[in-house]
Amino acid sequence: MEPDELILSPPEWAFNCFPLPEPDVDVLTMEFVISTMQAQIDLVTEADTSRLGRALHVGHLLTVAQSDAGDWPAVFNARTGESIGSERSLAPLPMFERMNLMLNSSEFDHVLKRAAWGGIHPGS
Amino acid sequence: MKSDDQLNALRTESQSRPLSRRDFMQVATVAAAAGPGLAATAFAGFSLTRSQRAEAAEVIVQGLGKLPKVKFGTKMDNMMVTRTCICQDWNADLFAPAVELGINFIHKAGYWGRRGPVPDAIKALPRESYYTDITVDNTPRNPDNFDAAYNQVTQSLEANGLKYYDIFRAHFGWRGLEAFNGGDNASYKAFLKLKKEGKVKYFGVSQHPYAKTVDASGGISYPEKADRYAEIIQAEIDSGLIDCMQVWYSYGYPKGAEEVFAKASAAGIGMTAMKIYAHGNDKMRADSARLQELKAGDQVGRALIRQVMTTKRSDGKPIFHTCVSNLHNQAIFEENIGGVSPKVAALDGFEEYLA
Repeated sequence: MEPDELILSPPEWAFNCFPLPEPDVDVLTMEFVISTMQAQIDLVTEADTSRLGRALHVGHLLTVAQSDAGDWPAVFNARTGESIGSERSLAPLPMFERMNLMLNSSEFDHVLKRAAWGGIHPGS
Repeated sequence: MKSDDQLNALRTESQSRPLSRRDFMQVATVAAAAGPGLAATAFAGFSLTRSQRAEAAEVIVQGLGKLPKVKFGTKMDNMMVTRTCICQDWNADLFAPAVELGINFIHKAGYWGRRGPVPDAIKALPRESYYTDITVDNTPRNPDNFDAAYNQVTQSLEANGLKYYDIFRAHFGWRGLEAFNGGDNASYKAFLKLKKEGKVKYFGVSQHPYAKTVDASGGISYPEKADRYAEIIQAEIDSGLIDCMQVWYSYGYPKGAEEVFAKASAAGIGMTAMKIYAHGNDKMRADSARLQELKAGDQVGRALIRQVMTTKRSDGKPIFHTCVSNLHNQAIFEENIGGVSPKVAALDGFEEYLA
Protein backbone atom coordinates (compact mmCIF):
# COMPACT_ATOMS: atom_id res chain seq x y z
CA MET A 1 0.00 0.00 0.00
CA GLU A 2 1.34 3.45 -0.84
CA PRO A 3 1.13 6.04 1.93
CA ASP A 4 -1.73 7.86 0.19
CA GLU A 5 -3.85 4.74 -0.23
CA LEU A 6 -5.55 5.01 3.11
CA ILE A 7 -8.36 2.95 4.48
CA LEU A 8 -10.59 5.46 6.24
CA SER A 9 -13.27 4.96 8.86
CA PRO A 10 -16.85 5.47 7.65
CA PRO A 11 -18.65 8.82 8.05
CA GLU A 12 -21.06 7.51 10.69
CA TRP A 13 -18.28 6.57 13.14
CA ALA A 14 -17.47 8.85 16.08
CA PHE A 15 -13.95 9.30 14.72
CA ASN A 16 -14.90 9.38 11.06
CA CYS A 17 -12.35 9.52 8.25
CA PHE A 18 -9.63 8.27 10.60
CA PRO A 19 -7.03 5.92 9.09
CA LEU A 20 -7.61 2.21 9.74
CA PRO A 21 -4.94 -0.49 9.63
CA GLU A 22 -7.42 -2.92 8.05
CA PRO A 23 -11.01 -2.55 6.87
CA ASP A 24 -13.55 -2.78 9.71
CA VAL A 25 -10.93 -2.71 12.46
CA ASP A 26 -12.35 -0.22 14.94
CA VAL A 27 -9.80 -0.34 17.76
CA LEU A 28 -6.99 2.07 16.98
CA THR A 29 -3.83 3.16 18.74
CA MET A 30 -3.12 6.88 18.81
CA GLU A 31 0.40 6.09 17.71
CA PHE A 32 -0.89 4.46 14.52
CA VAL A 33 -3.24 7.36 13.75
CA ILE A 34 -0.61 10.02 14.27
CA SER A 35 2.14 8.14 12.49
CA THR A 36 -0.18 7.70 9.49
CA MET A 37 -1.23 11.34 9.49
CA GLN A 38 2.36 12.56 9.81
CA ALA A 39 3.20 10.42 6.77
CA GLN A 40 0.29 12.08 4.95
CA ILE A 41 1.60 15.53 5.80
CA ASP A 42 5.02 14.45 4.50
CA LEU A 43 3.42 14.15 1.06
CA VAL A 44 1.94 17.66 0.99
CA THR A 45 3.26 19.83 -1.83
CA GLU A 46 2.48 23.39 -2.86
CA ALA A 47 0.48 21.99 -5.75
CA ASP A 48 -1.43 19.43 -3.70
CA THR A 49 -2.40 20.14 -0.12
CA SER A 50 -5.27 17.68 0.03
CA ARG A 51 -3.45 15.39 2.46
CA LEU A 52 -3.00 18.25 4.88
CA GLY A 53 -6.78 18.55 4.80
CA ARG A 54 -7.06 14.95 5.97
CA ALA A 55 -4.66 15.60 8.84
CA LEU A 56 -6.49 18.78 9.78
CA HIS A 57 -9.73 16.85 9.95
CA VAL A 58 -8.16 14.31 12.31
CA GLY A 59 -6.66 17.19 14.29
CA HIS A 60 -10.00 18.91 14.66
CA LEU A 61 -11.66 15.77 16.03
CA LEU A 62 -8.74 15.14 18.37
CA THR A 63 -8.93 18.69 19.69
CA VAL A 64 -12.35 17.92 21.08
CA ALA A 65 -11.16 14.62 22.54
CA GLN A 66 -8.24 16.11 24.48
CA SER A 67 -8.51 15.67 28.25
CA ASP A 68 -8.18 18.52 30.74
CA ALA A 69 -4.70 17.19 31.49
CA GLY A 70 -3.82 17.70 27.83
CA ASP A 71 -3.55 14.07 26.75
CA TRP A 72 -5.56 11.52 24.77
CA PRO A 73 -6.40 7.85 25.14
CA ALA A 74 -3.57 5.71 23.77
CA VAL A 75 -6.09 3.14 22.53
CA PHE A 76 -9.67 3.89 21.53
CA ASN A 77 -12.64 2.63 19.60
CA ALA A 78 -13.01 4.84 16.53
CA ARG A 79 -16.54 3.58 15.91
CA THR A 80 -17.93 4.56 19.32
CA GLY A 81 -15.34 7.11 20.44
CA GLU A 82 -14.72 5.22 23.70
CA SER A 83 -11.29 5.04 25.34
CA ILE A 84 -9.89 1.55 25.89
CA GLY A 85 -7.70 0.93 28.93
CA SER A 86 -6.04 3.54 31.08
CA GLU A 87 -2.97 4.28 28.98
CA ARG A 88 -2.71 7.91 27.83
CA SER A 89 -0.85 9.44 24.91
CA LEU A 90 0.75 12.73 23.95
CA ALA A 91 1.53 11.54 20.42
CA PRO A 92 -0.67 14.17 18.72
CA LEU A 93 1.30 17.14 20.08
CA PRO A 94 4.12 17.21 17.50
CA MET A 95 1.52 16.98 14.73
CA PHE A 96 -0.40 19.95 16.12
CA GLU A 97 2.79 21.98 16.37
CA ARG A 98 3.72 20.98 12.83
CA MET A 99 0.34 22.01 11.45
CA ASN A 100 0.57 25.35 13.25
CA LEU A 101 3.94 25.97 11.62
CA MET A 102 2.82 24.86 8.17
CA LEU A 103 -0.26 27.07 8.28
CA ASN A 104 1.49 29.94 10.07
CA SER A 105 -1.39 29.75 12.47
CA SER A 106 -2.14 29.77 16.16
CA GLU A 107 -5.17 27.53 15.67
CA PHE A 108 -3.81 24.74 17.85
CA ASP A 109 -2.02 26.87 20.45
CA HIS A 110 -4.69 26.13 23.01
CA VAL A 111 -4.19 22.38 22.51
CA LEU A 112 -0.44 22.70 22.99
CA LYS A 113 -0.88 24.99 25.95
CA ARG A 114 -3.21 22.59 27.71
CA ALA A 115 -0.56 19.89 27.41
CA ALA A 116 2.17 22.27 28.64
CA TRP A 117 4.08 21.88 25.37
CA GLY A 118 7.41 23.56 26.14
CA GLY A 119 7.41 26.10 23.35
CA ILE A 120 4.22 27.61 24.64
CA HIS A 121 4.25 27.25 28.38
CA PRO A 122 7.18 25.40 29.87
CA GLY A 123 6.25 23.37 32.86
CA SER A 124 2.92 25.01 33.48
CA MET B 1 15.12 35.40 47.96
CA LYS B 2 11.45 35.65 46.96
CA SER B 3 8.76 34.16 49.19
CA ASP B 4 6.38 31.53 47.80
CA ASP B 5 3.62 34.14 47.61
CA GLN B 6 5.84 36.50 45.67
CA LEU B 7 6.83 33.71 43.28
CA ASN B 8 3.20 32.81 42.73
CA ALA B 9 2.40 36.43 41.98
CA LEU B 10 5.23 36.47 39.43
CA ARG B 11 3.91 33.27 37.90
CA THR B 12 0.55 34.90 37.33
CA GLU B 13 2.13 38.10 36.08
CA SER B 14 4.30 36.19 33.59
CA GLN B 15 1.15 34.98 31.82
CA SER B 16 0.33 38.52 30.70
CA ARG B 17 3.79 40.07 30.22
CA PRO B 18 7.37 38.74 30.13
CA LEU B 19 9.30 38.67 33.39
CA SER B 20 11.82 41.47 33.83
CA ARG B 21 15.49 40.48 33.85
CA ARG B 22 15.63 41.10 37.60
CA ASP B 23 12.57 38.95 38.35
CA PHE B 24 13.75 36.16 36.07
CA MET B 25 17.15 36.06 37.77
CA GLN B 26 15.45 35.74 41.14
CA VAL B 27 13.45 32.76 39.89
CA ALA B 28 16.61 31.26 38.39
CA THR B 29 18.35 31.61 41.76
CA VAL B 30 15.51 29.73 43.45
CA ALA B 31 15.77 27.04 40.77
CA ALA B 32 19.52 26.66 41.18
CA ALA B 33 19.11 26.43 44.95
CA ALA B 34 16.57 23.62 44.57
CA GLY B 35 19.47 21.29 43.78
CA PRO B 36 20.47 18.92 40.96
CA GLY B 37 17.53 17.44 39.12
CA LEU B 38 14.94 19.66 40.79
CA ALA B 39 15.34 23.01 39.06
CA ALA B 40 12.40 22.71 36.67
CA THR B 41 9.91 22.70 39.52
CA ALA B 42 10.89 26.26 40.33
CA PHE B 43 10.26 27.32 36.73
CA ALA B 44 6.92 25.49 36.57
CA GLY B 45 3.96 27.72 35.85
CA PHE B 46 6.02 30.60 34.44
CA SER B 47 5.48 31.73 30.90
CA LEU B 48 9.03 32.39 29.73
CA THR B 49 10.42 34.04 26.64
CA ARG B 50 12.60 31.98 24.29
CA SER B 51 15.83 33.39 25.74
CA GLN B 52 14.59 32.87 29.30
CA ARG B 53 13.77 29.25 28.44
CA ALA B 54 17.31 28.81 27.15
CA GLU B 55 18.68 30.18 30.43
CA ALA B 56 16.36 27.95 32.43
CA ALA B 57 17.69 25.01 30.42
CA GLU B 58 21.24 25.96 31.41
CA VAL B 59 20.30 25.75 35.09
CA ILE B 60 18.69 22.35 34.51
CA VAL B 61 21.68 21.04 32.54
CA GLN B 62 24.08 22.17 35.24
CA GLY B 63 22.11 20.15 37.78
CA LEU B 64 22.01 16.99 35.68
CA GLY B 65 25.71 16.95 34.74
CA LYS B 66 27.31 15.11 31.82
CA LEU B 67 25.81 11.73 31.05
CA PRO B 68 28.06 8.68 30.69
CA LYS B 69 28.01 6.44 27.63
CA VAL B 70 27.81 2.66 27.42
CA LYS B 71 28.49 0.17 24.64
CA PHE B 72 25.33 -0.27 22.58
CA GLY B 73 25.41 -4.06 22.31
CA THR B 74 28.27 -5.88 20.62
CA LYS B 75 27.08 -5.98 17.02
CA MET B 76 27.66 -2.34 16.05
CA ASP B 77 31.44 -2.07 16.29
CA ASN B 78 32.24 0.24 19.17
CA MET B 79 29.10 2.34 19.23
CA MET B 80 28.83 4.03 22.64
CA VAL B 81 25.60 5.80 23.53
CA THR B 82 24.14 7.67 26.47
CA ARG B 83 21.53 5.77 28.44
CA THR B 84 18.77 7.94 27.06
CA CYS B 85 18.38 9.33 23.59
CA ILE B 86 17.04 12.36 21.76
CA CYS B 87 13.82 11.92 19.81
CA GLN B 88 13.09 13.94 16.66
CA ASP B 89 9.61 14.96 17.78
CA TRP B 90 10.64 16.45 21.12
CA ASN B 91 9.87 20.06 21.75
CA ALA B 92 12.47 22.11 19.90
CA ASP B 93 13.65 23.82 23.12
CA LEU B 94 15.07 20.53 24.39
CA PHE B 95 17.65 19.69 21.72
CA ALA B 96 20.30 22.18 22.85
CA PRO B 97 20.21 21.10 26.52
CA ALA B 98 20.27 17.44 25.44
CA VAL B 99 23.40 18.03 23.37
CA GLU B 100 24.91 19.92 26.28
CA LEU B 101 24.40 16.84 28.48
CA GLY B 102 26.26 14.74 25.92
CA ILE B 103 23.26 12.79 24.60
CA ASN B 104 24.58 11.37 21.35
CA PHE B 105 21.90 9.10 19.88
CA ILE B 106 18.93 10.46 17.96
CA HIS B 107 15.84 8.37 17.38
CA LYS B 108 13.66 9.07 14.29
CA ALA B 109 16.24 11.47 12.81
CA GLY B 110 15.05 10.37 9.37
CA TYR B 111 11.92 12.48 9.72
CA TRP B 112 13.99 15.67 9.76
CA GLY B 113 13.88 17.36 6.43
CA ARG B 114 10.21 16.66 5.85
CA ARG B 115 9.01 17.32 9.40
CA GLY B 116 11.04 20.42 10.13
CA PRO B 117 14.74 21.15 9.72
CA VAL B 118 17.59 19.51 11.58
CA PRO B 119 17.81 21.60 14.78
CA ASP B 120 20.68 24.10 14.92
CA ALA B 121 22.08 22.42 18.03
CA ILE B 122 22.50 19.17 16.06
CA LYS B 123 23.58 20.81 12.81
CA ALA B 124 26.47 22.47 14.61
CA LEU B 125 27.94 19.07 15.64
CA PRO B 126 30.41 17.05 13.56
CA ARG B 127 28.34 14.32 11.92
CA GLU B 128 30.59 11.59 13.31
CA SER B 129 30.02 12.76 16.89
CA TYR B 130 26.46 11.43 17.14
CA TYR B 131 24.40 8.44 16.02
CA THR B 132 21.04 8.42 14.29
CA ASP B 133 18.35 6.02 13.28
CA ILE B 134 15.74 6.30 10.57
CA THR B 135 12.43 4.64 11.33
CA VAL B 136 11.52 3.12 7.98
CA ASP B 137 7.75 2.98 7.72
CA ASN B 138 7.85 -0.14 5.62
CA THR B 139 6.39 -2.29 8.36
CA PRO B 140 3.91 -3.46 9.34
CA ARG B 141 1.67 -2.19 6.58
CA ASN B 142 4.03 -2.69 3.63
CA PRO B 143 6.37 -5.53 4.52
CA ASP B 144 7.06 -6.26 0.88
CA ASN B 145 7.57 -2.77 -0.43
CA PHE B 146 11.27 -2.60 -1.22
CA ASP B 147 10.96 0.65 -3.17
CA ALA B 148 9.11 2.49 -0.39
CA ALA B 149 11.82 1.56 2.12
CA TYR B 150 14.68 2.44 -0.21
CA ASN B 151 13.09 5.72 -1.28
CA GLN B 152 12.26 6.82 2.24
CA VAL B 153 15.92 6.57 3.22
CA THR B 154 17.41 8.18 0.10
CA GLN B 155 14.84 10.98 -0.13
CA SER B 156 15.13 11.85 3.54
CA LEU B 157 18.92 12.12 3.29
CA GLU B 158 18.52 14.48 0.34
CA ALA B 159 16.09 16.56 2.41
CA ASN B 160 18.00 16.75 5.69
CA GLY B 161 21.65 16.47 4.65
CA LEU B 162 22.57 14.05 7.46
CA LYS B 163 24.81 12.13 4.98
CA TYR B 164 23.97 8.70 6.40
CA TYR B 165 22.04 6.98 9.17
CA ASP B 166 23.75 4.67 11.59
CA ILE B 167 20.68 2.49 11.97
CA PHE B 168 17.96 1.48 9.52
CA ARG B 169 15.14 0.69 11.92
CA ALA B 170 12.06 -1.18 10.65
CA HIS B 171 9.30 0.90 12.24
CA PHE B 172 6.62 -1.01 14.17
CA GLY B 173 8.33 -4.30 13.31
CA TRP B 174 6.79 -7.37 11.72
CA ARG B 175 3.37 -8.72 12.55
CA GLY B 176 4.52 -12.27 12.92
CA LEU B 177 6.96 -14.94 11.85
CA GLU B 178 5.50 -15.15 8.37
CA ALA B 179 6.05 -11.45 7.68
CA PHE B 180 9.54 -11.52 9.21
CA ASN B 181 10.35 -14.64 7.20
CA GLY B 182 13.62 -15.32 8.96
CA GLY B 183 14.84 -11.91 7.82
CA ASP B 184 14.22 -12.59 4.14
CA ASN B 185 11.89 -9.62 3.69
CA ALA B 186 11.77 -6.38 1.73
CA SER B 187 13.01 -4.23 4.61
CA TYR B 188 16.16 -6.28 5.02
CA LYS B 189 16.81 -6.35 1.30
CA ALA B 190 16.42 -2.58 1.09
CA PHE B 191 18.80 -2.29 4.05
CA LEU B 192 21.45 -4.37 2.25
CA LYS B 193 21.30 -2.18 -0.85
CA LEU B 194 21.40 1.02 1.21
CA LYS B 195 24.32 -0.33 3.24
CA LYS B 196 26.30 -1.00 0.06
CA GLU B 197 25.66 2.60 -0.94
CA GLY B 198 26.92 3.88 2.43
CA LYS B 199 23.56 5.35 3.44
CA VAL B 200 23.01 3.13 6.49
CA LYS B 201 25.24 0.93 8.65
CA TYR B 202 23.23 -1.33 10.92
CA PHE B 203 19.87 -3.09 10.86
CA GLY B 204 17.40 -2.56 13.67
CA VAL B 205 13.75 -2.87 14.50
CA SER B 206 11.22 -1.04 16.63
CA GLN B 207 9.15 -4.13 17.37
CA HIS B 208 5.57 -3.97 18.64
CA PRO B 209 3.91 -7.11 20.06
CA TYR B 210 1.20 -8.20 17.65
CA ALA B 211 -1.36 -10.87 18.47
CA LYS B 212 -2.92 -12.13 15.24
CA THR B 213 -6.66 -12.46 15.81
CA VAL B 214 -9.27 -13.96 13.52
CA ASP B 215 -12.89 -13.01 14.20
CA ALA B 216 -16.03 -15.12 13.52
CA SER B 217 -16.39 -13.74 9.99
CA GLY B 218 -12.76 -14.50 9.15
CA GLY B 219 -11.55 -10.90 9.52
CA ILE B 220 -7.95 -10.64 10.67
CA SER B 221 -6.61 -8.00 13.01
CA TYR B 222 -3.37 -7.52 14.91
CA PRO B 223 -4.03 -6.00 18.34
CA GLU B 224 -0.89 -5.15 20.30
CA LYS B 225 -0.35 -7.14 23.51
CA ALA B 226 2.82 -7.03 25.60
CA ASP B 227 2.57 -10.71 26.56
CA ARG B 228 2.91 -11.72 22.91
CA TYR B 229 6.52 -10.65 22.47
CA ALA B 230 8.37 -13.91 22.94
CA GLU B 231 7.87 -15.59 19.56
CA ILE B 232 8.82 -12.72 17.26
CA ILE B 233 11.73 -11.52 19.43
CA GLN B 234 13.13 -15.07 19.58
CA ALA B 235 12.89 -15.33 15.78
CA GLU B 236 14.70 -12.02 15.41
CA ILE B 237 17.46 -13.17 17.76
CA ASP B 238 17.76 -16.48 15.90
CA SER B 239 18.03 -14.76 12.52
CA GLY B 240 21.28 -13.12 13.62
CA LEU B 241 20.37 -10.15 11.40
CA ILE B 242 19.12 -7.69 14.00
CA ASP B 243 21.81 -5.39 15.38
CA CYS B 244 19.56 -3.38 17.67
CA MET B 245 16.03 -3.55 18.93
CA GLN B 246 13.59 -1.06 20.42
CA VAL B 247 10.79 -2.62 22.43
CA TRP B 248 8.00 -1.77 24.85
CA TYR B 249 9.07 -2.35 28.43
CA SER B 250 8.12 -0.94 31.79
CA TYR B 251 7.55 -1.70 35.46
CA GLY B 252 5.37 -4.75 36.06
CA TYR B 253 5.76 -6.13 32.53
CA PRO B 254 5.07 -9.81 31.80
CA LYS B 255 8.02 -11.98 32.84
CA GLY B 256 8.07 -13.69 29.43
CA ALA B 257 8.74 -10.40 27.70
CA GLU B 258 11.49 -9.49 30.15
CA GLU B 259 13.15 -12.88 29.68
CA VAL B 260 13.22 -12.70 25.91
CA PHE B 261 14.59 -9.13 26.02
CA ALA B 262 17.33 -10.40 28.35
CA LYS B 263 18.13 -13.10 25.78
CA ALA B 264 18.32 -10.50 23.01
CA SER B 265 20.58 -8.33 25.14
CA ALA B 266 22.83 -11.29 25.98
CA ALA B 267 23.05 -12.07 22.26
CA GLY B 268 24.74 -8.69 21.76
CA ILE B 269 21.74 -6.85 20.36
CA GLY B 270 21.68 -3.13 21.28
CA MET B 271 18.53 -2.69 23.38
CA THR B 272 16.33 0.42 23.68
CA ALA B 273 13.30 0.57 25.98
CA MET B 274 10.24 2.60 25.00
CA LYS B 275 6.76 3.23 26.49
CA ILE B 276 8.35 3.32 29.94
CA TYR B 277 6.03 5.96 31.36
CA ALA B 278 2.90 5.15 29.38
CA HIS B 279 2.94 1.48 30.38
CA GLY B 280 4.24 1.75 33.92
CA ASN B 281 3.08 4.93 35.59
CA ASP B 282 -0.12 3.50 37.09
CA LYS B 283 1.69 0.55 38.63
CA MET B 284 4.62 2.59 39.91
CA ARG B 285 2.40 5.31 41.33
CA ALA B 286 0.48 2.64 43.26
CA ASP B 287 3.64 1.01 44.66
CA SER B 288 4.89 3.43 47.27
CA ALA B 289 7.46 0.95 48.64
CA ARG B 290 9.14 0.58 45.25
CA LEU B 291 8.96 4.33 44.66
CA GLN B 292 10.79 4.85 47.91
CA GLU B 293 13.49 2.31 46.98
CA LEU B 294 14.08 4.12 43.72
CA LYS B 295 14.61 7.37 45.67
CA ALA B 296 13.00 9.64 43.14
CA GLY B 297 10.57 11.34 45.53
CA ASP B 298 7.25 11.82 43.79
CA GLN B 299 8.83 11.87 40.32
CA VAL B 300 7.27 8.76 38.84
CA GLY B 301 8.96 9.26 35.45
CA ARG B 302 12.39 9.30 37.07
CA ALA B 303 11.59 6.24 39.19
CA LEU B 304 10.42 4.31 36.14
CA ILE B 305 13.56 5.08 34.18
CA ARG B 306 15.70 3.94 37.10
CA GLN B 307 13.59 0.80 37.38
CA VAL B 308 13.88 -0.10 33.70
CA MET B 309 17.49 0.85 33.20
CA THR B 310 18.64 -1.20 36.19
CA THR B 311 16.64 -4.32 35.34
CA LYS B 312 19.30 -6.96 34.85
CA ARG B 313 20.05 -10.10 32.85
CA SER B 314 21.06 -13.24 34.69
CA ASP B 315 24.74 -12.28 34.26
CA GLY B 316 24.12 -9.08 36.23
CA LYS B 317 24.37 -6.69 33.29
CA PRO B 318 21.49 -4.31 32.48
CA ILE B 319 19.11 -5.57 29.79
CA PHE B 320 18.68 -2.14 28.24
CA HIS B 321 21.50 0.07 27.06
CA THR B 322 19.39 3.14 26.38
CA CYS B 323 15.80 4.35 26.40
CA VAL B 324 13.59 6.82 24.63
CA SER B 325 11.00 9.11 26.22
CA ASN B 326 8.41 11.44 24.82
CA LEU B 327 9.53 14.79 26.25
CA HIS B 328 7.64 17.97 25.62
CA ASN B 329 8.76 20.48 28.21
CA GLN B 330 11.65 21.26 30.51
CA ALA B 331 10.02 19.84 33.63
CA ILE B 332 9.47 16.44 32.05
CA PHE B 333 12.93 16.62 30.48
CA GLU B 334 14.53 17.10 33.87
CA GLU B 335 12.39 14.43 35.54
CA ASN B 336 13.22 11.80 32.92
CA ILE B 337 16.83 12.61 32.11
CA GLY B 338 17.49 12.81 35.84
CA GLY B 339 16.71 9.09 35.89
CA VAL B 340 19.99 8.33 34.07
CA SER B 341 22.10 11.06 35.65
CA PRO B 342 24.80 9.75 38.00
CA LYS B 343 25.04 13.22 39.55
CA VAL B 344 21.37 13.22 40.49
CA ALA B 345 21.48 9.57 41.55
CA ALA B 346 24.41 10.28 43.86
CA LEU B 347 22.53 13.15 45.42
CA ASP B 348 19.41 11.03 45.84
CA GLY B 349 21.39 8.18 47.35
CA PHE B 350 20.36 5.82 44.56
CA GLU B 351 23.48 3.73 44.46
CA GLU B 352 22.62 1.46 41.62
CA TYR B 353 22.90 4.42 39.32
CA LEU B 354 23.92 2.89 36.05
CA ALA B 355 27.43 3.38 34.78
